[in-house]
Amino acid sequence: MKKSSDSELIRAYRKGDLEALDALIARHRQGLYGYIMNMTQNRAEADDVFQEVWLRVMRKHHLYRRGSNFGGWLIRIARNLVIDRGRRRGCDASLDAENDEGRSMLNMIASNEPDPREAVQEMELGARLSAMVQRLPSEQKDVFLMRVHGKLPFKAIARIQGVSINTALARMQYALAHLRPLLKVEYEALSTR
Amino acid sequence: MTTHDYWQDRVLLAESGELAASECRALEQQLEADAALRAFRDELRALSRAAQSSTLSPAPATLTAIREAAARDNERGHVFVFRPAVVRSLAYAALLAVAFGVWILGSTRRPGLSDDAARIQAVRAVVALAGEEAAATGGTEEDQLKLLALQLLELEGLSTDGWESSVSDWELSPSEELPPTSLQWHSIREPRAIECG
Repeated sequence: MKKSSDSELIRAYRKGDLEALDALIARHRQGLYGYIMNMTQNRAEADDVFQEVWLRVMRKHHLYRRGSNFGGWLIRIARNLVIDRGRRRGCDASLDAENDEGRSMLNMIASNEPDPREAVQEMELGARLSAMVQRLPSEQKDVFLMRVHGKLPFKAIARIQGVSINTALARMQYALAHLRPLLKVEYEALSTR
Repeated sequence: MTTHDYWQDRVLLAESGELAASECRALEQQLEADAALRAFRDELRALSRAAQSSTLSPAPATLTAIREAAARDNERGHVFVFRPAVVRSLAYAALLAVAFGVWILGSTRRPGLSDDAARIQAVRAVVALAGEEAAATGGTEEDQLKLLALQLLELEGLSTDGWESSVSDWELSPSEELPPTSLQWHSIREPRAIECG
């Protein structure tokens, strides 16, 4: 069976074909959710944002331009939602609010753990990498996640960030340079696989 | 930018499928000759695999809720509602043209109060337009403003590359003063103090 393009699936959805929407969700679920999860670091919030992205797709599908990068459109919507939530939360952030691991900002500040780097040693590789990515400066993290999870081309990333493509490439290079020493051991393990 | 950085950028672009076939051939030749570049490419691929391996899935309840919302929309016929996207685009284009016209008008008049009034009108029109577009697309007003400003500059025949970098720098350090731009700002006056956040 011929694999339909995103544009064809959107067109089918506009005609009322719900399976087309299912196919779109299945195709973009992993990358989109990976991006949102890494941006929010909270499963409940990631689920909320993921749902809101698709609700917006349903409401605003007429704004999608045929032939343009659908995955890029999804990431852009998700990114704006995460930013908006962050801004709203900025006013009422609480030291008592708990993350997915049930730890509040307060007990992380007061933690007796000598070094967060040691704590992450016990995590599995992917999770460890995710934890390392959280330490990147926000604009580098954004580029890294859009590229690795969203699989967006740098041209699209540059447009979303409102910078030149050279700046987007430089941010990716900086992100990799930051991750390389932190993950040196993993790199060596990975290269021997 | 060093030669090494240049080739690393080429690797990044090749991995994202943004290099032309001839550029890919040149990169392949470089990769054959440069072990460090090969290591960079391999690390990049390994890193992507590792990052994707940790990806979780949304909760089944979330997927169910999306499907139910889609079914409700479908039943109500929302999917079939006529959306005059073309009409709206034309309205935006007209508004943009008006804003641009006012801008030009403001920039060709003698300096004085009337120039200020014209500029204020132009800015108000652009801000209103950005607000509408942000509401319609689910984006932020800030992004739309930036996009419209870029379009205006391009309409005026200016290169926006340097300007984009300046905007980016400004975003990174909102508390700092706007860095000098390489653009000729014509009649556009120096920006006054801008409050961020």
